Amino acid sequence: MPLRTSSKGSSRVNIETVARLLTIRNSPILLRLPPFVSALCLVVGIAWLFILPLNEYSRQTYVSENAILPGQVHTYFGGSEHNVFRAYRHEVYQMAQWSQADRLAAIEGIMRDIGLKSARQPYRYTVAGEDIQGTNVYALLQGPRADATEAMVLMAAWRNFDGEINHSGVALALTMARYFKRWSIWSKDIIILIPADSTYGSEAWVSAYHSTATEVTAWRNVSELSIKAGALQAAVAIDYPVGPWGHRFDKLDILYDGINGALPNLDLLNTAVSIASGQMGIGCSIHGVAAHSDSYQDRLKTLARGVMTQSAGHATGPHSAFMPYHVDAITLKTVGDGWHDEMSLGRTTESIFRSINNLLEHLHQSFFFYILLNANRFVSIGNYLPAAMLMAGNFTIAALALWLQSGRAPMTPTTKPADTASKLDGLQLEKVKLGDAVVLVPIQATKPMIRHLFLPVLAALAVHLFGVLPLKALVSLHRDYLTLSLQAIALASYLLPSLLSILLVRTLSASTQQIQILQSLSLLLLSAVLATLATLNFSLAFVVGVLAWPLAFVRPLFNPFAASMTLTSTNLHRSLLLAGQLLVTALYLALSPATVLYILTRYFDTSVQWTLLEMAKAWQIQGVYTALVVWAIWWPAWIVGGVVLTSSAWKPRS
Amino acid sequence: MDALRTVYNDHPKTVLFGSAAALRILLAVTFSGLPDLLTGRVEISTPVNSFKRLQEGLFLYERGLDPYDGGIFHQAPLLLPLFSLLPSSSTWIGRLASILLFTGLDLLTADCLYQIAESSAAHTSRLFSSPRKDRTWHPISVAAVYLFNPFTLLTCLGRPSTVFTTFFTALSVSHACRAQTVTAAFALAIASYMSLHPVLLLPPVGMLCYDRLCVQIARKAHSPSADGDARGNGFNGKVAIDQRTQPKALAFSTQMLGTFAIALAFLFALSRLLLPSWQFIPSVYMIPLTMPDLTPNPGLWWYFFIEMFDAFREFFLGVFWLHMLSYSVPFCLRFQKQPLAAVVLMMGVVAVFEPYANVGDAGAWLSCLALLSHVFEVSSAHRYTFPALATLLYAALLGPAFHHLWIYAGSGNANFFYAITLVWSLALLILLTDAVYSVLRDEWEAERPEGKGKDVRQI
Repeated sequence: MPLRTSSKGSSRVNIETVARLLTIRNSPILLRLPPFVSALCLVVGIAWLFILPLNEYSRQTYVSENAILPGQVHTYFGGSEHNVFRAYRHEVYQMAQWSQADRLAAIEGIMRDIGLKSARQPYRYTVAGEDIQGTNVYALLQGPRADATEAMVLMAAWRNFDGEINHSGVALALTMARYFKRWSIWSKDIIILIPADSTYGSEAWVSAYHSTATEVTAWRNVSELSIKAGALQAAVAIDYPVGPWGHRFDKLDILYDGINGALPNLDLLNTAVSIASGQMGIGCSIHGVAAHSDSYQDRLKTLARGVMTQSAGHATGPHSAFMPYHVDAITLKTVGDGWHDEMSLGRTTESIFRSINNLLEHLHQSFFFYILLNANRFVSIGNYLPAAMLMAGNFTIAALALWLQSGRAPMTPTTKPADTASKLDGLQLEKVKLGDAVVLVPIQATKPMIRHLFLPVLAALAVHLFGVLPLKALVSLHRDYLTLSLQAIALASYLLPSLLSILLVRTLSASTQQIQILQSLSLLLLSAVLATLATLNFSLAFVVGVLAWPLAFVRPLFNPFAASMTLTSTNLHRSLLLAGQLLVTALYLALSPATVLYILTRYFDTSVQWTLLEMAKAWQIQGVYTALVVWAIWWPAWIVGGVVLTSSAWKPRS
Repeated sequence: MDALRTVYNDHPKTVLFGSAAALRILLAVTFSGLPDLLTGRVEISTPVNSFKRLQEGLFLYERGLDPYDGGIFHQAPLLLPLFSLLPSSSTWIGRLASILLFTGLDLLTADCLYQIAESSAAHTSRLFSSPRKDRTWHPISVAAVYLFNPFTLLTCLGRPSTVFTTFFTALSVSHACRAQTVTAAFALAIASYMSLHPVLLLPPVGMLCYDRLCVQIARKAHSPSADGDARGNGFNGKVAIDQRTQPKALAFSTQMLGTFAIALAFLFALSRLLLPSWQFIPSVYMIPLTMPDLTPNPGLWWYFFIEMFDAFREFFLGVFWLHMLSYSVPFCLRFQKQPLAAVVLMMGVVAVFEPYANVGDAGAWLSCLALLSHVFEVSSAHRYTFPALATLLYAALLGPAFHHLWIYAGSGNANFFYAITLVWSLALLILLTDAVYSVLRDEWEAERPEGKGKDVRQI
């Protein structure tokens, strides 16, 4: 900001250049810009998601891997196989009345009769005082042309994800096994797996499949597998919980989300969709949006459901457990009333297995990161990732701005000078000599302040380490105490910001600058973690970014009726300021992790205890890290936001 | 609280070193899987410093075989008898013993940095005295930066053998700051024997040592009553230097080079005594020169040489090495007035451009930057320190994530990880150029105090 220059002739140009440079670098406009830029990032980031369903930003799916050849073979499942299926379905119905031991023996008996090697795998998990146990049964069909290096899995969980007994699914899997056994074309082994339960059964099986020795701990006891085949190429689960008298279905709902939002290769999904709809004429749906009119609203609805389940990161079916082991897997779930029967489902499965059988190498051609808008339209990572990156970028910009601010002599930001003259009086000026010329610039522009980093660094570190406490409490306490501990955490998180800011400001006499640095570091860490997370689980990073947005804009509260304010503003203006601050505080409190959890359980109409128990089980058994992100990343950042908000209230008056 | 403060004020060094050691041991004991996990990380362990490969060499050595036969072990032979004294690292006691050894090394390195900072070599030399010398950090802060640097901490738990190189380099520099030519050269010879690239530090370290020698002699001549310690207590500003009493540069360099060569020869001979053949020379020293093992690391070489047609390999190996070599002497010429800055900056060049780059070297260099703390003011006000550090944070988090996507999840590929190593190196280079800028600016302002605080522009 050049104010007065005294120059002689030729050096004027130089002076002006210098002055202009100083103006640009230290211009107050530049310093006030970041909040607007980060608000812009936020708005564009959210709006981004809403344009994805448009035709211009999404693409038609296509099968990318040459070898798959979906639907190119004639399917022979039919005729007398139907009788076999009906017989098995009655047997399965009978078994459902028996004890577990008899049932396992009966299933194994059928598998042996077919001529397969069969085995059992008991497992037991103990989480939050709840016992989860069961026994998986599986059999190995050695492919006549296979060299035992590769295998594919056909699954039908005894109980499906909704807890119903999967009568027709299990019967169909057994029929398919009997039918597959007769073919000589298999160049990969086929494993027929009947997990006892859709989530933990398949988890126990696939984790034992990929480990050489299983260690028994207090909470986990998973037996080793006595029969193994080669590397799993793909897994397909059948979910068809229809009783002994059959029920014709309308569509196949294809479930594909894995643990922590990992997705199977898009080719597997495309294969299933193109076989079901192209070869068999069965319509396919995604995320249960059965009546999909391919309108913008329906696409957006599908997208939103996908983002929600992937951000929660939990299992959505027996296929989910396979994803962390780099095995592509899907579940075919029958929905609705229609005219497709079990034989069309069987032929679909047969054709899918024929396609997987064709693979020469592990599925790798197509996308691993995508958002589906309907069964045959998707958005690829290049189109949607910027949304999450903008969310993360918004926090980085805020952090950089705070860092810059903390390095400058404090200006009183709330007093707005009426005219330029009084503005000049408020600033301390400094002479800058350049040759024989002199420029006057505000002292703030030239004198960097020394930053006292020790306390903010220590405080940021401590708060983030402290996040381990709520996480530990919520994943390891007995289930009866989970609701109570969430209440305690909610209460503590409302009090903690004030207590911490009293500790920092009063006891440790932290300056405004140190509070700014604390906020800057916390936001920087949040943004870096969210950017990293966006590459692993886009949806989770995006949702946390949206929920944490006020943290970038949190500034210390101030009293608009204080003496220093009365000079410059009217009463109405001050009341508006006060109302604004109350609103900000209310918003801040409403977006605390615990409150959001309460609101979400209310919205999805589930009990808090059930949600917490599921989160604890998912974290302990399947390694779902949503709880970690919430309590060790978001919660500490939220606490630091509160410290900043309340910091000025506890400042000792001098 | 007050008692703690009193203890800290009375024995700051003991408290600092004690807490640093306690933190390392506590981490290793509480998370017993952590050391082995870190040992397996490509960011920390490279083919030339991996603790796992050392175990392999140790296994062969203890059975009387040539440890270099397997083609896996590429580390200095003298590490073998040292580590064969420790219990096997597969047991918990062996793991603890190795952690204790590396903790000890970290403490010794921190002590060397403490002594370098204490010697005031950073801001005062024969030809130069910084106008900002009152802004220098306390030596204890410099040691603390090294000991609590997260990269150093992770490296200590990952136990790569480059920690030895870092220690002997720091030892050499600290002896050079005390003008002890023979020990400085000897320590640098050990460091070069361990991993070759410290040879590049020979010119700057020699220059530093010569500079300190001149200062010492000048000070003796200046105040004959003083006992001649080079600690800079009560020694402010430049000293009137009498050219006649100066040590001869030629004689000095002969002494330095001679000691260096003799020490190296001695170390080679000792190694040959322990081993059945001379095979260790190609195995240890040709590996970084020819880079046959292209395991990913956070450096810039591996991806480039994976993509390379074999016909051009030798040519580009030469180009890459020439590039690294080309900094050593120019830095000495330009930073003649501030030899310690030349040493620190050269360490930075090595940390970024070495063939088997790793987080340990980068972390040690970042901590060494604290030796130039008097010019931080310049770089934080005029340069990009905070954005560069923020970028380092981003890269440090994204690197492992992309490596996971590539190697384990199978949904990414090598380009993801390579992109992040580029970002990592870029951030380090920005810090390096900022350090160069600040040091030169400081030197310039000493001559022209009226330029203080002004922006740079081309005239």
